[in-house]
Amino acid sequence: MSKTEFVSPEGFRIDGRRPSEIRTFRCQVGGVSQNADGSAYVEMGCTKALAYVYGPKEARRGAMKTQCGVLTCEVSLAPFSTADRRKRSRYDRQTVELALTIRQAFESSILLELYQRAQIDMFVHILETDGGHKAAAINACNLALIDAGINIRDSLVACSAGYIDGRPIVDMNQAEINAGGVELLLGVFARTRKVSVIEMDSKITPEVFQETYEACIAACRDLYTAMETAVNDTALRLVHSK
Amino acid sequence: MLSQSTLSPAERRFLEDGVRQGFRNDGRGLLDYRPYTVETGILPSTSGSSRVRSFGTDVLCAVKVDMGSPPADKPDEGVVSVNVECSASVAPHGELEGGSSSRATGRVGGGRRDDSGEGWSAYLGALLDDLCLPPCALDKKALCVSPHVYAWHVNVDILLLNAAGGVLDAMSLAMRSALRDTTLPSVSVGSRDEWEEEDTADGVQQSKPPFDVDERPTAGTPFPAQDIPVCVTVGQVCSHYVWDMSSEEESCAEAQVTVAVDRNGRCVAVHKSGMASIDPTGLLQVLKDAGRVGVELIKKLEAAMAKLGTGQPVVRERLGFMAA
Repeated sequence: MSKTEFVSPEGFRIDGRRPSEIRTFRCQVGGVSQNADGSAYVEMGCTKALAYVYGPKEARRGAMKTQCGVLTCEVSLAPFSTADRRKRSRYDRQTVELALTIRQAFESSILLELYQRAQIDMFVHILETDGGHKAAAINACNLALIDAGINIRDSLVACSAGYIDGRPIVDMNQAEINAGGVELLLGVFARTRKVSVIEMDSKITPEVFQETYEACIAACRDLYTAMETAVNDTALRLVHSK
Repeated sequence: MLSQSTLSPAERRFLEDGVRQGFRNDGRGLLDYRPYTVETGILPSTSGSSRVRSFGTDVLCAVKVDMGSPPADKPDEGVVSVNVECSASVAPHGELEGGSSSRATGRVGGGRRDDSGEGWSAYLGALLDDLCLPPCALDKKALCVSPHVYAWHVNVDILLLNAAGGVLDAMSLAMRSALRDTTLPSVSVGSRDEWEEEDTADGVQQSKPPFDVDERPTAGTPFPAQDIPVCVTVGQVCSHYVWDMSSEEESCAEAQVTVAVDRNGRCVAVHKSGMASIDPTGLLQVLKDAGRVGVELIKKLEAAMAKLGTGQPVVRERLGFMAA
């Protein structure tokens, strides 16, 4: 059997995208939940994530900090989200790790010093995953925080990128991840371009890393454009509805 | 049951006085239902899926089918398991109560682990299994592909995203529409002789015959049980029966009766929860009304599903319907 061709000679990937093209990005800011203070739904291709934000509200006694607010995050991967069904506990290693990554990323994004003695809770549901659910979760959280009106320094945008057949490809789907190449996850502040999240676990040369990194940053910019439009549209709709 | 809202004595009194006079806080009469929104075929990676919303209540249901061995004690039956998961934000005693948010901090070790939410999920799952999948509604023999060898394992996963009353009712509607949306792939199992030859060659382990799956989307058969009962929950507030309660009303209800009703208005199963006891004469009336309401509910659901076009899952087709 011949090796699968991830980028055709004409420059198309298996799902018909160009190497530097992100998947269809769709999102809904707010209106996903009635009782949450902020909510957002994000689709990156077939990967779907839902985020709820509750707060700021009074922190529970044990976690109260006097100099800044407390941020918590809980992630759940739905049992039906992956190709073969698997039930995970709430304390599954993978989801706990993702929750920790998200919490740390947003601790640098939210102006927590404004929320003394208060607590902000984020809940993320991954409903379907076709690669890149970490990036989708971060993007959903960012939009939900905006919807909740939490003060943030800058929008945090996340995207993944890989390196297959001698060229970087962005926003990989599960088939491309299964090829077992490089997978880089970046969370970037949209305006300052500072990196908040970076995850990669392959041995690669600095040149390859730089190429992948640059492609990933460009993809984050594309994603931010889409997210900014969605946020502006929602804000305009809210203004007109008043 | 779930009582998320904490009502002050005055609010409680107001609600109860209203119910005594036949009015409810949202302007409904005691028998009035809130409109439901149903979507099907929303998750392409599952065999069948649906989402049911009714004001604050939001339920997502996904069905996945797997080929597996039939249970040892029932070699000619398939397996159906219902699994309920609650979003952390709706689990009772969860973060809304402020009691146990240590589990939400994302720490690997440490922190108090509160399993009350999981206990509640397990309770809801078992209840739905009893109420909506009784033997009269679901013939598990139809899920067997080849006795002793292959049977379908049907996993029904229900995700409760938001709760604002009528959780069981919404879950049963979601389950009914998701199972109607489900198609079982058509499979052909290799001949028995072939398999036994393999068996002797293998010696120790009993090997299974290979099976082929017809990949064409049109080749599947619909899920055998087409008439999954729906649940109708009635609460007793000040000796009056209130239908389709909001979460405030649920917290005022002394007792709740959930009746599972099939297409013909027959009562399939009954479950009572809550501390107070129920007057038997009133209960008969409740069962009669439940049959009527349930049939109405199923009719509206069928009409809406027919609009979606049977067999072909419609992606992101939204529709609002019914107010019985």
